[in-house]
Amino acid sequence: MGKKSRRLFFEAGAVAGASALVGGVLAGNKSDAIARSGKLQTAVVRPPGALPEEEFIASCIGCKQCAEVCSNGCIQFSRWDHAPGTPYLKTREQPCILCMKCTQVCPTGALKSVPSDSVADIQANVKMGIAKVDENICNSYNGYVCGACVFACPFSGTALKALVWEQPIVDPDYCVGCGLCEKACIVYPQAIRVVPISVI
Amino acid sequence: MKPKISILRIVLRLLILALFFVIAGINHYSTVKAQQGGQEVIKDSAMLSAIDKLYGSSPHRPIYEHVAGGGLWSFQIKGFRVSDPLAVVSDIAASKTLHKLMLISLIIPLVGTLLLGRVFCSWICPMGLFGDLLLWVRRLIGKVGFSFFNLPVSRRIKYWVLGFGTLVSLVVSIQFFYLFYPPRMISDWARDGWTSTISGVDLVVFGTILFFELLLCQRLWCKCLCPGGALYSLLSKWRILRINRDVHACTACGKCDDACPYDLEPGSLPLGGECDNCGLCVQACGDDAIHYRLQTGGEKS
Repeated sequence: MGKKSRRLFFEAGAVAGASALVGGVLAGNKSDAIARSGKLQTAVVRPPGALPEEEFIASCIGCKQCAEVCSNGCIQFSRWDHAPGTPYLKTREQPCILCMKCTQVCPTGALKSVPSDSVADIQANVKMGIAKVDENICNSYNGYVCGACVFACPFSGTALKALVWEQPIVDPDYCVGCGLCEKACIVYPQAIRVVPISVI
Repeated sequence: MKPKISILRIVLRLLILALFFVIAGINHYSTVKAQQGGQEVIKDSAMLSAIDKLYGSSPHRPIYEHVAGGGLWSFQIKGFRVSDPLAVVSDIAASKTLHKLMLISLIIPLVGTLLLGRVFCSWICPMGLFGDLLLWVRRLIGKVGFSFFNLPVSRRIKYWVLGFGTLVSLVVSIQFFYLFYPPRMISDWARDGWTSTISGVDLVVFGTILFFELLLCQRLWCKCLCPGGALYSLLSKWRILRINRDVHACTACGKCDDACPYDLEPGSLPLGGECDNCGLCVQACGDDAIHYRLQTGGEKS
């Protein structure tokens, strides 16, 4: 073995070792994050049309074009938590208005393109999460007729139905998890919340 | 008189950063305008309200067409996309799929680099601005009498960084290069000011890079460490635009060797893929012996 090839061998060995080390640390971090995402606090709502969480993190390159095109300004970015540079929504602060522009601008298909903002397309392709009603604190379940969430829901009547006295009931087959109900809820803390699809 | 190439490079790179800033500003303006229902004056930012006074009010909630967006990592104009080759590599490695739009967006950088060499590094990448700034700081402090290290760090490290990062992306399935690629960070800073604050993590990573560059070796990042530069170097081996030295006119004064920021020697050695066609040696030559040339079939002197 010549001197040059020996040097190459050592360099390759060093690089492989270092990448195994860093890869191991990152993988540990990531599996930890996935384990923790079982808890509601750390899981996030991804923008509409997002691939399943694992594939989404692998595919998103963090170009931030989805946020630039969003006319509602609802897409935020994780800094060092979750996967750095990936988009998510805080539905309580700013919910999704289902315009589907972000899915059309994504270059990698991390957000699958949804052709238009028609009801059929959205129902077929979008699943950001499912709203969940906390009947213990919801006004309508506790003697005060409210119905704010039912009026806010874009699929009112299918995704979010009102029982007698405006008691909201979610149909998980139709709810897309846009969070408009959560934003509209007049109770604090919110009695209706979107649970990210990654933890359902 | 020759045009001052060093000044042209600075102006061009600043213009590109300014372009990203303006595009992000326009997008942010249309967002805010749509949210406020087309009202006359936007109050949350001095610059937005200045644009608004120019533009005037619209009676209804306005809908603006999204024309352009993105940064140096990946951007689009009217649906026409351009991405950094490193983003494409990292995307393929992490997701293990070929995304059609990403491959299409590779066309311009790929053809450009195959023809013109590493011109991204020398004429577009804003990291070069900071590299040149540090070079200037080194010279300035050097005049006072303090001498910095200029260690002979191997240029080959960057290829290992590229391989290492791709391997990590493959194993862990995340965009590893995203975390520390300076042009991505800097162009994001130019865009982020409108909507959010600048990422502190990026600042720390970037500061670390600059610190070691000042401490160890001039142009350490671009010359020895940058994975994107490594990729462009590999692609630019067969470039057509080259630095060419006229042997008869050359007086072997060595000015070009001193001028080269990457410590290459335009006066003697073949430059290979490392040269990024920055043109500083062309500018430095007092004998009019070094020129840009278009030539096929490899390197001649």
